[in-house]
Amino acid sequence: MAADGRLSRQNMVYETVSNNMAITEIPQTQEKLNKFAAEQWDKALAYLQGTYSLSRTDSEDIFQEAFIVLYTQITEGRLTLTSSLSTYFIGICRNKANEMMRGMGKELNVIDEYPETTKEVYEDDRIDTLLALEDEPEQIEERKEAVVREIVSKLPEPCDKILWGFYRDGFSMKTLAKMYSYSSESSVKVTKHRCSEKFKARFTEISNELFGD
Amino acid sequence: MKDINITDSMHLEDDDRITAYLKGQMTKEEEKQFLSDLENNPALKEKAIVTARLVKGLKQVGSAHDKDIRGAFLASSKQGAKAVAQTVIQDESTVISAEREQPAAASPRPIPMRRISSWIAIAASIIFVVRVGFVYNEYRVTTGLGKEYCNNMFSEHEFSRGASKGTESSSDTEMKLKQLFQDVKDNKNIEKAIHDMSLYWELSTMDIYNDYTDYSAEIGMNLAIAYLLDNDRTGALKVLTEMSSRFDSETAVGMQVRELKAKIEEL
Repeated sequence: MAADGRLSRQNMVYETVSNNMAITEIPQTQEKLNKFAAEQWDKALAYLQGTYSLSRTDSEDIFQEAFIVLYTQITEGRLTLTSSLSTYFIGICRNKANEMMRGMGKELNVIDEYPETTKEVYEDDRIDTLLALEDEPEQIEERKEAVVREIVSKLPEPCDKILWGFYRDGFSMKTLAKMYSYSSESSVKVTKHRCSEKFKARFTEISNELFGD
Repeated sequence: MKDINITDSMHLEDDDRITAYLKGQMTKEEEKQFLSDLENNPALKEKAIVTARLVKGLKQVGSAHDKDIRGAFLASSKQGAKAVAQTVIQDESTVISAEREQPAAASPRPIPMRRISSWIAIAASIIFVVRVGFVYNEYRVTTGLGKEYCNNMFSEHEFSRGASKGTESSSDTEMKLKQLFQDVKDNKNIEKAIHDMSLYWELSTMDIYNDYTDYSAEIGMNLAIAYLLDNDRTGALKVLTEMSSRFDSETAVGMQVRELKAKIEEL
């Protein structure tokens, strides 16, 4: 461990590799990084063009710089997440875009509702308060949570984008509308509602089958 | 459609209130009213609980995913990360530039409209006939493959384990599955069989052990065959692809899954 108490990069790599994956799984690691980058590029491009009206070339430059900033922060142990990694990354892109705009002498006239953090947004104790209304035995509750995890991992389009974007990444309806080319915030709102209903139906169907509710 | 819109607008307000509560954005008065409404309005209460479940689930899965990605960054070099960012952009740019660089067709000589419309009519007729033939052939081959595998399916086990599993619902589960598998074999009620087995397939592949876990192979294979009988190659391939990642190629199931998958891909 480094003198300042942080793990050195080599140690962190070793620990991550040995703890989380077998050596044979390293190609999967690369695949994960590629997938993450591809998802973020789609979001970043839509966000930068929608919010700052930047050209594709400028957006590409920002994306590449931001990706390296994220890499550096992670590998140097300087990353403290208060939001999802995706929100954090798009936040870096946002800062880079602001720098670019200032550098070009353009006025920053951006109406933006970018979430600084999602840690404060959805409070754990409030989630627990609502869940307590059902008063399930602990064992059933754990199994129900596992069912939810399965469902949210396989959400179909566009629900994956909207539900993840709203509830996990903390994006506003306005930002989501820009990111995913919806005509208005209310279209996103309706889509989100329908997706929540689909989630509820799927969860109920599976719960009934498994727990006989 | 009109009804759906009315229903939506009625519930959107509830959505907003639940979100505001979870975010701690209500005034004390609003929160008091909301909690009181939860007690008196079962639909709102159910919706609030499901939303809380959804938010918690997304948090759990999201945190695990983010941890994974951090691990992937740590296992990568700076050059590697740079290359990933460049590749993602270039991949898309290549597609875009390829689309832009489609050679423009040479300007055609003006042709009388009557001749054009005759040609269009003839071409449309030919396309229609060929298309009908092609679609029918595709249907025949796909459903034929389903019938072939229906009769040659491996038998992982007989349905006799219900009592030993020690759960009351086990025998019910077996009965239900047995009926569905029989329907597939008889090529009847296929739509219902697909609907029911899709759910059971999802259940059987979940991390948590349940009544369907042990029947995962049979459910998956029967579902894939049902899709073929329904002339849905995409559905069948999706199930078989997931099955090949779950069942080793050395096992009877694994072998049959790969064989069928390859045959569909060749069609």
